[in-house]
Amino acid sequence: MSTRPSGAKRLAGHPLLLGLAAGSAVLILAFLALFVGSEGLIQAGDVLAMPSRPDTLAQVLIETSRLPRLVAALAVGAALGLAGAVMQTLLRNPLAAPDILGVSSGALLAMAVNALILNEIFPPLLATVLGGAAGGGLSILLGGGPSAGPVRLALAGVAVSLFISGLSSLLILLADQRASGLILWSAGMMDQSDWPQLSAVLPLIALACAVMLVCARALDLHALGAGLAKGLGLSRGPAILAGLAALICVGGSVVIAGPVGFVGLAVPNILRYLGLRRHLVVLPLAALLGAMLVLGADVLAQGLGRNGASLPTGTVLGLLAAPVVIMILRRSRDLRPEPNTNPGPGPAALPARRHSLARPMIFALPLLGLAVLAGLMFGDGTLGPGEIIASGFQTRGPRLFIALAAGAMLGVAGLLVQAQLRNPLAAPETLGLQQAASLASVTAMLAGAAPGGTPMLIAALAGTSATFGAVTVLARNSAGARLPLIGIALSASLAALTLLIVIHMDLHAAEALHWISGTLHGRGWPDLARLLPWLLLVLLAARLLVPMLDIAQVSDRLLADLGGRPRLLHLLAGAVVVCAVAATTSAIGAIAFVGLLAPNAARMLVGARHRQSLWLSAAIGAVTLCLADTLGRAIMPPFDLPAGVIATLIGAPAFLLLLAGRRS
Amino acid sequence: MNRPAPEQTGPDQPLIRCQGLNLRRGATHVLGPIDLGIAQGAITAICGPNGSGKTTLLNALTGVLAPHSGQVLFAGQPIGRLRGRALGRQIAVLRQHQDSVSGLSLRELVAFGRFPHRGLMQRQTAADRAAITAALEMCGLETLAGRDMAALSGGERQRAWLALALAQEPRVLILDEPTSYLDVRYQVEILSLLKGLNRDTGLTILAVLHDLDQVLQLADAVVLLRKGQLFAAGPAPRVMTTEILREVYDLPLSVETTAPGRASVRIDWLGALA
Repeated sequence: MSTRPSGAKRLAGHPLLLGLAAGSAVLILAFLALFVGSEGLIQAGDVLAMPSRPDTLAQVLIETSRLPRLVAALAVGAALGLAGAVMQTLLRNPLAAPDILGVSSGALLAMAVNALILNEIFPPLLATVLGGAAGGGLSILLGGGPSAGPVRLALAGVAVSLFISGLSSLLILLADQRASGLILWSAGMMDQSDWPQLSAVLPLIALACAVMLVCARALDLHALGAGLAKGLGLSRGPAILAGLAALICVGGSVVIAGPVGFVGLAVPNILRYLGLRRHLVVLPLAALLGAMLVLGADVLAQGLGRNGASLPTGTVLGLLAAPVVIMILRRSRDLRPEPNTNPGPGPAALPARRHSLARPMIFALPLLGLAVLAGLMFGDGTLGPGEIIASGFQTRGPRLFIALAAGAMLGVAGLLVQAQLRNPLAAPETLGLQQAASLASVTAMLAGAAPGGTPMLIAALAGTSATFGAVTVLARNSAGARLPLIGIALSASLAALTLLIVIHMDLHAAEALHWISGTLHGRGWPDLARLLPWLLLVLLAARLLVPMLDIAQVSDRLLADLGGRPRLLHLLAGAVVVCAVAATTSAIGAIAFVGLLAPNAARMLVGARHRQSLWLSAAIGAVTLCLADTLGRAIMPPFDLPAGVIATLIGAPAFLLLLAGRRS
Repeated sequence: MNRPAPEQTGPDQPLIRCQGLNLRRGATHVLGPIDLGIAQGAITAICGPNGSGKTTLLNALTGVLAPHSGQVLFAGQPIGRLRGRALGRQIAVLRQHQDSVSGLSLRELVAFGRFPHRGLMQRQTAADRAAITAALEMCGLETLAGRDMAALSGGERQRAWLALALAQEPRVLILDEPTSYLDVRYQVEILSLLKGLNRDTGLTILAVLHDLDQVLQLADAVVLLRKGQLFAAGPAPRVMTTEILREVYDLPLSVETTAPGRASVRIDWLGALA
């Protein structure tokens, strides 16, 4: 750790001072939260006059809308800060947090199921606690148990979260046509609670917080290690109790505000960075700091909102994802990659299961044909052969072929980055490339570019290449699971920024979903015509790079010794990846998991050489995206479920399998 | 002292020649000045204590490091003029540390050696396949060709990397400590393979070797470095003498001739440890 204490660290010696500072910050923010963003309806003076309760509109507004929102923000922040601290101690993992481990998303799904399908059989809090426990349990189970490596556990948790969030989105979309409101809700809003709802949840959250404080001593021991804690005569009781209290805190906060991310991750890490270890000090400060963070974000969200509508607070907090995760990975000693004992867990590190298909395309082509046929037949009404020729081809054809082209490009892009970074978990989405492209596209729209036009494409190219450059620099020392974790955090931040821009611009919420999770809704022949040259360029360029890629996946040095040009290869491959990602994303938005899975599936089928895996990866990507889109159209016509959500539901479990396979 | 002159390396015109070679890293002078010739068809060993500049010299000879002054000539041409794959067709390098590979079969790895000979879109030709098979045979790996690299033993793996270098059909094979990290049996295996290759195909071999006994068994010529300077170079019997080695390594060692043409290095351990 650092040798000379910085100003903040010196504060750590005086936790009381720190608490006072945070407390006054909370007070100031609370004062601001009562009137900021009300467009003049509430003045600072009205807030100061509150104790006398004058009979004014401002007073009514404060009492019925601002005050509950303030209490909600405070409660959510404190609850999440505490829950994060307890979870990190119990799992001895600085990356553990309610949102990272799928607890928040599990709680949200349970709440949605309870409300939309089960007609509220359970009280909301019970549903969220059960759902949170299930989500967290699943993450820990799939991450290799509580004692698994911290980074792997976090990555498994993120995948589980993505999967569960996909399910929630689907459910919300299916159950309610007014999807836009619910999409915002699942992004974490503070203004959906009124006094009765709050008063039902607050006492339980307070109780849970008290329980955690009582367990503080036991948590101190637990932080030393399970073996040691047992040796010191600590029973498992307090740990279980504290864990349960953490679940109640998360569940309660989801009931109040939906999933609010990265508070539970950031707060305990900040305190640990300040050098605080004892839970009797850490826990109250975590609550205070969490409340400060959420309240600050909420004030910001209200201040930035327009026309009386505020931005989702959870999305503002989502901006924190990348900085927090990168900070944690850089600071924590136990998370640093081991010095090259196990060099290059590259794509080649996959088990050499070679069913070496001599002509893999003989299998891939009929699959492609089947996918096209299915895409033409199914959707909003099943069509027979005659109808397909008569009308189906004209209406369903373009988006079908766009899905194929985009899927193929994503498959190729994934294959290239995996070979370049020698990491089978690398992909356009796990590097944050797609979210960068969609952020750039949205920014271009903000500047007046037409959707799908050349200026937007240029913006997407610029955004993607900047991110690719940054990630490559960050990834230099990030083998294995660290790279995708950084990339996914980056994606979360970029997606939050995109969503904020979309909402701020008053774009349609459907549009927002389009840019963030990707859909082929409403694409036509002109879009296809714009995409095809890129497909040809990407395929041809990738094919030319194959001989050098084959060697580069072993090492750059070998390539140089054989007379190849590693730098040129990385530059060209990077350019191809950027083109593929920017072209697909500016056409259909960010589609997750296709670019991650296709190359891995291709390599499992034909081995590590790219001459065959290139075409196969393109074919698998094309078929996957085409099927996802077809499913999205066919599940519940006339609704058009975003292909990106379906791809996540297919992709996340496969990603978890992949992660599990790497353990051996 | 009788130090052999560097020019007398062999009867033929040298394949690689250094003229007034100097190398710097930043402002520090790390190697040189060096004048020497590497004879075609011979086995030349580069020796010297740690940090004497052996690997740096290798990197200069393969064109990886550009000289600060002086030049390296390969077959009469400045090595800098051989670029990209043309270099890969002339010089094959076996590095000191090999990348760990899995998911590739041995044959697939060896096939990478044909990269310098192939066009970007070109499939394997009959000549490629013949070269790969020949390289596998020379290294005794035909039966293992289908195995995954991860499933090979240390010696087999080292031979696989050697086969990759041979599949390049180079004019000169450069090896950086080919026997380090191998147990004695594999060391002998690799060295006898190299000796056989040189005898049967006339391949020029240039190897950094640490073990002085191995140098005595293997090398026709020796280049001896100390502190970034060329200390001695020439035919092995003239360089590998008690007097020269004692001065370079600063150890009580002696070269003992056991039979005509057979010598070994004896270190007076008791004297060294005293």
